[in-house]
Amino acid sequence: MESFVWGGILKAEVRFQLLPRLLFAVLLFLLAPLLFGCSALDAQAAAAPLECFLSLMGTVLLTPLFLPEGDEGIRQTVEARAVSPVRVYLLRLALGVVLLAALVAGFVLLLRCSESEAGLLHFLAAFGDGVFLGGLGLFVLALSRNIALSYMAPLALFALNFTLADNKLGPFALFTLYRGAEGGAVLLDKLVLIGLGLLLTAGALGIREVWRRH
Amino acid sequence: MGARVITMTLFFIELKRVLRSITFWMMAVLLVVVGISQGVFPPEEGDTIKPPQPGLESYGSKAGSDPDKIMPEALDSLYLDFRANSYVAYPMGFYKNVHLNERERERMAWVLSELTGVSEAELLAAGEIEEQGRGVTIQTEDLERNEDGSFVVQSDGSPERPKVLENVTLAEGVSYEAFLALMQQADRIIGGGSSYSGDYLLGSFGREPVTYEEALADYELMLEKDRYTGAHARLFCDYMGIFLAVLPVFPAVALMLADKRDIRPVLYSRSVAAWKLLLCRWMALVTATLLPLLLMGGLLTGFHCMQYSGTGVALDLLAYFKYILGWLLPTILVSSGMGIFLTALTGTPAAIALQGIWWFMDTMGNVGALTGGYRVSLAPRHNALGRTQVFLDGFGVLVQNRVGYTLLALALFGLAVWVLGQKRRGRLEGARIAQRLLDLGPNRWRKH
Repeated sequence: MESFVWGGILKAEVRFQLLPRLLFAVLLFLLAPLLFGCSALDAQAAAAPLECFLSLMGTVLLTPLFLPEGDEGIRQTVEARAVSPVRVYLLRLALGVVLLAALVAGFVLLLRCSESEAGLLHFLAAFGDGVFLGGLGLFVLALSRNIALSYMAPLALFALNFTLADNKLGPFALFTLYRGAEGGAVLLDKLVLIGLGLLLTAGALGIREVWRRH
Repeated sequence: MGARVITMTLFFIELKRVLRSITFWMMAVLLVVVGISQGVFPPEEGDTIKPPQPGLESYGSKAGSDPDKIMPEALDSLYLDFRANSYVAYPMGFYKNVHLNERERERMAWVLSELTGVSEAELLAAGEIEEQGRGVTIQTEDLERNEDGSFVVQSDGSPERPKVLENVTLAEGVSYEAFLALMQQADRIIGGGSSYSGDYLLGSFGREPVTYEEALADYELMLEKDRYTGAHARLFCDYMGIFLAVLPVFPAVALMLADKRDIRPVLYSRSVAAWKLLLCRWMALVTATLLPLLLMGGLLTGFHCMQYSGTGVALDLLAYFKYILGWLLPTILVSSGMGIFLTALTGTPAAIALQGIWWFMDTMGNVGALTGGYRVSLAPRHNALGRTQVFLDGFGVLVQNRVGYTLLALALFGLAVWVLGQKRRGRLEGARIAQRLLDLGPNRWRKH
């Protein structure tokens, strides 16, 4: 019975929630080769479409996690159900993270098939940036309940990364691989960003739960 | 009189809504952060305009104008890149090291052949030798073993063995115009963004040192036209413009989406004309966005009065305000107008995504013209303190750019008015399709 319920939830989530976000993420995926090219790129050039563009897929896929429940009527209907909303959010989060990983991995594969030097580090670079940006937007959404603001925070940080040097951005430097940092340093930076992203996401879920109970 | 009072009242109501919006305040804070982080609010210590001192070793360099210097330098560079089959380019502002495939190399060999008079076969062969390593290829059939076990390299003296062309020179009779056209073609083969295209070429090759007299003339021109503050205001607008090409879309979207929660049924039934309602909202957004900029401009003017107090020059006290209204206002009109139109049409935050993509392509596409890059950019660039002559030379183009974008903003406003009018009549069912496709929020369950 429970699997039947979760099957229905998953179907509804994919059909009504995930599809619009996925469409836009796929649009970014398709634009990247047009803007940057993907053939015969060296390691530094291959990092550009990943870190400096496709990391935005994290914002697209993860930030609007609570958006359906932004409508008061829907929120009350959902919370009246036996299924815990937190478990639904975790399902959405898992779908978003899996899709982000799949799209980034797909692009890395595309680069490799086009004789470009891209590998696991490139995957981690874009995935780490994406998880962090998505988590940041989600946290702002949980705090402010304002969708425009929740997109503004990650996009503003992303834009600042274009105009400021890495040493001025500290742990929030998103383009370290493209800017030529050592492999070990990049790995550490991206693991920190993934950790921060997950922390922000957990914080967002916690804030959401507090709002719900009070 | 009554209608004017209603309009003004509506404007102030909308302005109050914007000023109470957290999204607006976040944008205002970000603008200040950008100003501080980019070193224009206040200007960095080293950014004080001073007269050039005589007797210095260097006064910088400038783009050359002597074809006899530009052409050989550019040709040498292109030939070196051709031999290595490695071309550094910055299409879309991002570094890329391009390696041409066989067909592209042949096309490049044709360009070089046109420039140098050397045959394509010879050029291609030189390129192959370079790829094989340092101009020497030893094959096993070239080796003859001696009795003591050592080897001797034999050469068959074949006249077909190609020479390594160390360098090439420009062929006689190649005009400067033809040279530029061929270089442009080379850039197209590379994929754009290389040193061989248009303005990049003139800025990269045949550069000439600036003399003391030229540096002094630049300084005096700046004093005459900019009176210090104009030059600083241009640099301020350069940095702020980048972010104003995208940030105003956020409060515009937030304000339009807030209608859905609060007042949409009232909005669609009021007797206030759609154009008046949207105009008041748009002007309120633009006015609010200008407030932090004008405040920063005022503070910076005061700062410059102290900075240049000992010079005896009368500063242009209105410079910042003129530049903010003339340079930045059209950018603000477009990004906020886009937010209003697309949110009215779709009922979703899709405007953020589309404006974000436009911003990205505009900002990255401008990397090759950081000073004087006025042509089609939403955020024109002038990333230098001074360079007054470049500004004066491009002023006409800049005016066309700003007028063009203002007209575009008015067109977006017109479209938004039309959309709102249609929705008031219960039409624009087509928008529901867009909403279904793009809906990221609760509107999915709303009936129009």
